[in-house]
Amino acid sequence: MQEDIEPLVRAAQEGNLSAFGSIYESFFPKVYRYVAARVGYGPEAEDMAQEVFLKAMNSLDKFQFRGPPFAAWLFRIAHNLVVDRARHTKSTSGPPVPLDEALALPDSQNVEEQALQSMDVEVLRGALEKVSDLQRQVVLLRFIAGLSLAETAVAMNRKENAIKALQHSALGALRRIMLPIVSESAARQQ
Amino acid sequence: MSNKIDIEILNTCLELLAQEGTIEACLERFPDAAAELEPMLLIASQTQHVGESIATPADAQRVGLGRITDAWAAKQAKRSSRRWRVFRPLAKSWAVAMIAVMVLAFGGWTTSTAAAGSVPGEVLYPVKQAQERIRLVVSFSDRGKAELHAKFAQERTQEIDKLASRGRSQAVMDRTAERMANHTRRAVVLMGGVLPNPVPATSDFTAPTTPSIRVTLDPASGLITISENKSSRERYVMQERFLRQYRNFQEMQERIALQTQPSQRARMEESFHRSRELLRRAILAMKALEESESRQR
Repeated sequence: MQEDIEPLVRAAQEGNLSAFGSIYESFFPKVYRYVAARVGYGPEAEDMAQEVFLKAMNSLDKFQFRGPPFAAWLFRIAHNLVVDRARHTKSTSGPPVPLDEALALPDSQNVEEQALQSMDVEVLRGALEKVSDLQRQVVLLRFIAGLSLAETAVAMNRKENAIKALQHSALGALRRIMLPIVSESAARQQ
Repeated sequence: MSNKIDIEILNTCLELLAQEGTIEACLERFPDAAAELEPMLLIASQTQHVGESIATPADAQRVGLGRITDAWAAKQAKRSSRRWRVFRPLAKSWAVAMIAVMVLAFGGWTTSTAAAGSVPGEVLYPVKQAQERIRLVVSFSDRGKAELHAKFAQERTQEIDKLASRGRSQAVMDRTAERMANHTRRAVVLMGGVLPNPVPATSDFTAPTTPSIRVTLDPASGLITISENKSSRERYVMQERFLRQYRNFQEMQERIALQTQPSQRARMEESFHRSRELLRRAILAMKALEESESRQR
């Protein structure tokens, strides 16, 4: 990934807007998922995901290939933005839009499948609220945003071994929380 | 194996899954840990699936790209102005020398005039581009540069019109439309405006009611009403350029209506709509700028 993105980042650093546009196109969905899963779905998440790229654009000159991978660098910006937002709007923000409202389900899927899918999302959302902030973050970066272990480590400013331990404890915690609910749901479906 | 899955085993399996491996393959590889491993891998896989199924709002992505493009143009304009400030004392004489070289190299006034009427793809078009760049270099004030950009935007519109009527390729027309948009953005940014993202047309057009005349813009039709305001003469000039640009579009529309060949007509229409949307955005930006200034007053 880093190898693929490098020529684009270099071109963007030299002032090529279309190169930055390509970076944007390729990372926006991941950044959006990450931000949306943290702050809830709706205009605020959309605005914040855009803001991540505006900040990245303004700091692009400072990005160095000897440093963290680009994806990690980008998600660190996203993380800082989310943290800042939580700090400033904790008391004023309304409830987030339910996660399942952001799901695009193909028309051809039948109602039963939609219900199951919606349940999965609800279960995950509820479960993520019950784990620690670090565990939540590692799950979002690794499995929602799709970052590698190394990228996640840089984005969270931790060593890879610490991320391994965190993902282990996070999946263990999610398992304890989600499995009974998923099993019950599956039994109901049958 | 303890009842707690080894951290390394779990990570190895997650890496395998990321490389299109299957849960079954992981369990076969670590049979002693399979009972503990399976539910955790299932959770990881399900989470990943949920993440992938989250739709990215296409509108938000498009709007974001617009914001980035505008911020990028503003950044470039700022950078360019910073760079030239250092050389300002020297730049004028340098530019005069460049013009002299141009005149000598390209055969003087006749060539320059011929180049002025050229369109992209023609031999003299690079001369025209060089002339425009020089004019931008010798214009030191933001106001002067903005006027030039507005003029060049209008020039690009006329080129699109010519290209369309001569049946040139869509790619050439698109590139020209993009140049037109860039000039327009720079003009707006240099005038202190921020280019907003396209919004649905509204009917909030209000005619001037006081004798102190100002510019009003109808975002629905793109029509600009200009009136004299000596304190913002430079803006008046820019608005006039945009108005002329708008009139060019009207003429293009008339020519499209007269075009009988369907494929040619379709291409002209596509180019027209694309260019006109870019212009509409610039007009909205000017309107926003006017409104903001009006509030400040």
